[in-house]
Amino acid sequence: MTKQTPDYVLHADGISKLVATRDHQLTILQSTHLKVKSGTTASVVGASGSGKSTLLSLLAGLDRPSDGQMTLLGQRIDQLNEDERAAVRAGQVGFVFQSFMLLPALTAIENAMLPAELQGLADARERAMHWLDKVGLADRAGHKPSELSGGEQQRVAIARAFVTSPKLVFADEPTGNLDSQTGEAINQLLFDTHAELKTTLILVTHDNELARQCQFQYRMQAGVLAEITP
Amino acid sequence: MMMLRAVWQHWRQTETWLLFSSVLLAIFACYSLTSVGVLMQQSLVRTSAELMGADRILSATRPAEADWIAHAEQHQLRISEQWSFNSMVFAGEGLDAPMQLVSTKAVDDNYPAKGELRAATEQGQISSLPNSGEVYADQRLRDLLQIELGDSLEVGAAKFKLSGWLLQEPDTGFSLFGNLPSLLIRLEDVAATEIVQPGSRLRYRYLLTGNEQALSEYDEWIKPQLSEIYRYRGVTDDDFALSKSLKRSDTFLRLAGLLTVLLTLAAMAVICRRFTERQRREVALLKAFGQSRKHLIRRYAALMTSVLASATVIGIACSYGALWVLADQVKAVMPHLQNELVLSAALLSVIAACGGCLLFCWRPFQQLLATPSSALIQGNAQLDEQVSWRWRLLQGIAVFGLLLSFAKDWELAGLLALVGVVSLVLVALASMGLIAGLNRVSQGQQLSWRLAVRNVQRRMTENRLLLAGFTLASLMVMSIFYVRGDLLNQWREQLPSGAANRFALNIQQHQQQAFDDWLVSHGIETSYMYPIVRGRLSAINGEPVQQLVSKENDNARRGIRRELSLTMRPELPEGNELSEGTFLTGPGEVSIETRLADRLDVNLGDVLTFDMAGIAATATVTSLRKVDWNSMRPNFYMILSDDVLAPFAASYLASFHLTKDQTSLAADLVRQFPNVTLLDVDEAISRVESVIKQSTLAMTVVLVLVTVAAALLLIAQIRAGMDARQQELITMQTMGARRKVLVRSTLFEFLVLGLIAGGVAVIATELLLAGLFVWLFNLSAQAHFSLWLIGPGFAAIIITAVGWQQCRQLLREGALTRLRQQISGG
Repeated sequence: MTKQTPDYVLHADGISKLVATRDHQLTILQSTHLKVKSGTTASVVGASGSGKSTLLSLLAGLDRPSDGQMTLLGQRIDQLNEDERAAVRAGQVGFVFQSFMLLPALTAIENAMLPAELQGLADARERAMHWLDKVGLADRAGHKPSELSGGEQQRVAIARAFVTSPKLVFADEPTGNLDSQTGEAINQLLFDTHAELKTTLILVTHDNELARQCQFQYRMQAGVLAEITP
Repeated sequence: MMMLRAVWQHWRQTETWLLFSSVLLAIFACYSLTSVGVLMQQSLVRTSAELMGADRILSATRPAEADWIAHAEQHQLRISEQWSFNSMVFAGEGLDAPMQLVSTKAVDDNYPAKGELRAATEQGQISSLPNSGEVYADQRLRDLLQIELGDSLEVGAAKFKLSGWLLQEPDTGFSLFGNLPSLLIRLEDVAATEIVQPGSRLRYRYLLTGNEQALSEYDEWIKPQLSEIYRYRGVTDDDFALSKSLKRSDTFLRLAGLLTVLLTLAAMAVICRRFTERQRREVALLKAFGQSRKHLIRRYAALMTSVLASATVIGIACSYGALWVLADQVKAVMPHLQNELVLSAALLSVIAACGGCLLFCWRPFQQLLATPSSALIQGNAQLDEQVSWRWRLLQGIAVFGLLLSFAKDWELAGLLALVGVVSLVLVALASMGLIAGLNRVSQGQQLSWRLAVRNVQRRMTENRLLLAGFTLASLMVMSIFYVRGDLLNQWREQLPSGAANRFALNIQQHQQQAFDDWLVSHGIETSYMYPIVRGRLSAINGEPVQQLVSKENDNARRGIRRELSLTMRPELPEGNELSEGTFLTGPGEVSIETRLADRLDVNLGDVLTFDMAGIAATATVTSLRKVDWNSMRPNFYMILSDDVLAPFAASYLASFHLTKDQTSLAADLVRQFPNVTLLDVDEAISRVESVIKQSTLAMTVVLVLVTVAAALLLIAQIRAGMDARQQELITMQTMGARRKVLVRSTLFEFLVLGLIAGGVAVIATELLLAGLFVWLFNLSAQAHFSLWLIGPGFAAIIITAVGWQQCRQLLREGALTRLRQQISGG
């Protein structure tokens, strides 16, 4: 694992993704180049099926590119196996998903503290409480996801994403399942948190308005990524 | 610490509890059935041992070797020694004193080893031995020798005081006829009789009792050392009257145990699959947060360990508690049922549960751990659902191994495996036929029916599994139900209601009519009165028998040395089965019992010569009969044509049934016919009845347990398909399908599956029953028409009812409610 330009939290160098179907190979992501500087915000917009989610999976190291080099937090990850990639992410990368992905059996605070706990942080609970307080849910800490509204669930997810003070947070359509008012509040929360912690934020959305709030903007179209930052 | 917290968090999920319940039920069912089997068998063996008078009996015409006794004592076995010999007994002195040939049993202080001795003395009924110098006598001697309590009896050179009438001797077994009247004396008094001299005909018997382990160790030690002249037997050995019943009930319990294990394993497999499917999001999430596969393996291994450990402890504790309640409830029927922790059953349950988890949960867990974290973003990536044939083969072999370890019997395990394979093939064929057949049937039918047909076809892969499960469940319940029924019927036939409980012996020819009239006048049903002529078998095909049998072993000599009760009867007696030849068609014929024929090496066409008080008569063997010696009917080794016995004076034997209200009539009868000996076999019958009752109860308990296990499998399978079903219902309801149509189509779907499963199960059950009865029970196989008639319908109704019950909630709630739940649940 060679260390590379620490200024960039991630560097995709010609990564592509092919999927084998029954009779031919399907290219989901064409050769893509992308560099994201530490502490910035970037957005990827695109229609459904354009390959946004595939790109996000590759950038976050959830999946491996078929070709090209992928560097995350200074480490080459395209040749690493799943466990090694997980080790690179551990504590350094946070996620916010469209469908929240909270564990239904755990309370809000338990969900929020999960990544910190996995890191073996002794103050996992305090951190989670701090973040729940920050997202305005301190009084709902003991509630289970089924007892929270959609907006509240996403706020718990945001607390969970930031609980380990990660260098990088990926947000996949974070407001896709919320009404516009709640969605706006969630977006605000994400950007405020980024501003406070200087965490790099990579946002995948089909909401152009939201995308425009990021410093760097990209568009995905039929597996091809293009920068559209004005 | 973190691992503990993770495990604890899992325990707060419904899926974990479902998985726990399935393992718990598997352990509960395995332990209950295996230990019920062991405990009830122990109880039955104890009851039967009382009937036999000991756990083991060693007997021979020479004393046991000293080290055999010493070894038994070292094994903490209790030994009761007894000598028996035939001798004349004289009542009073002088040449004209009445005398009778009797069988004398001399016993030591340890007698009886098992069961109870009862005698009527001047002090009332007692269960202690006679004092030295005293004797207890068979009640038949009262009439034969005209004696009363307190009289003196001479046996050999010694004089005894008659101090009691024998009411119950635990080790007399079931032979009621042809035996000599018995005397019971103390072993230390034998010397004074001077009967036992070198070369005397004497039989030594050693009655052994002790715990099962010590006994089986002793069995293994002694059996190789025994020469032909020694006879060593326990309650399960073939020549004990109830042994067949015991063996069959044991096979039944083992079969039921096996079936339950299979059912609970199948349920566990289904539930485990559902568990892992529901865990996939969590695994993907944990991986996204940086958890390694190794860590996840440890996490789920810890969870499974906690599930298995808690299910084992709680399952066995619950089962132990339930058995304790059961033992208490059935005390009246099974006084010997003692609930104790059966370690072998516990071990088997744990092995079954762990083995089941490994076999059926390994692959789903492997798939679970392979869930890519990208599934969180890209939706659930399709996993490789294909299971390799090697893995299937391994599962098959392991299941067979498990069957074998429970059955401890290749035949039973093999039969089950065969039936299983046949069922699977039938299910596969039936599901192929479904696709073709149902289309045709559903054309032009109402919407709900067409919808149901389409659902059945569309979900063919899952349905094949569902069908296999339903078939398995139906097969288990049906076979246990019918095996239980058939076995009970066959036992009941041994003791039909109103079976004779009194036997009148020694009715003289001139009294025959009067005796019959007396019975009729008291409203007592009479049966055939057997004429009895006492005689010895003196020659076979002209060769004297002594010479013939001297080459044989000691057992053979016993069968014919004594006088036999010879009888005549124009037709084959009830409970006798002709095995060779034709039953008495002309003059000069004899029908002989098969086992005796075997012992004497007598075949059809051989000529037997009988010696009746010095006069010889011959008869040709024209048939061999199997006799059910367990039945409480008059049974005979030899039945001859009328003409052979007609010249000899016969006494008659009558058998009849006295109800409880009629028991006082017995005294009247004895007064009317003072020379007639009346035998009361109520006690013996009630002891046999008690064994049958215990077996019936054991089987009923088992049937209930198997049914519960089958229901668990049904519920588990239906619940496993619930997610997919819910999605469909939402879609259809959202698109405007009316609730009524959906309800009907769901019902139809289960009905179709139930009918097919029921049909296949009926065929498989018939196959299993035939195999069981022919190979394992040595009984004749019979078709079960009721099974064919009601089996498929019954299975369909039960499966539809359970399916409906499980889906009711889904169908009751509106589509919107469920959509909302889905969205808020993520």
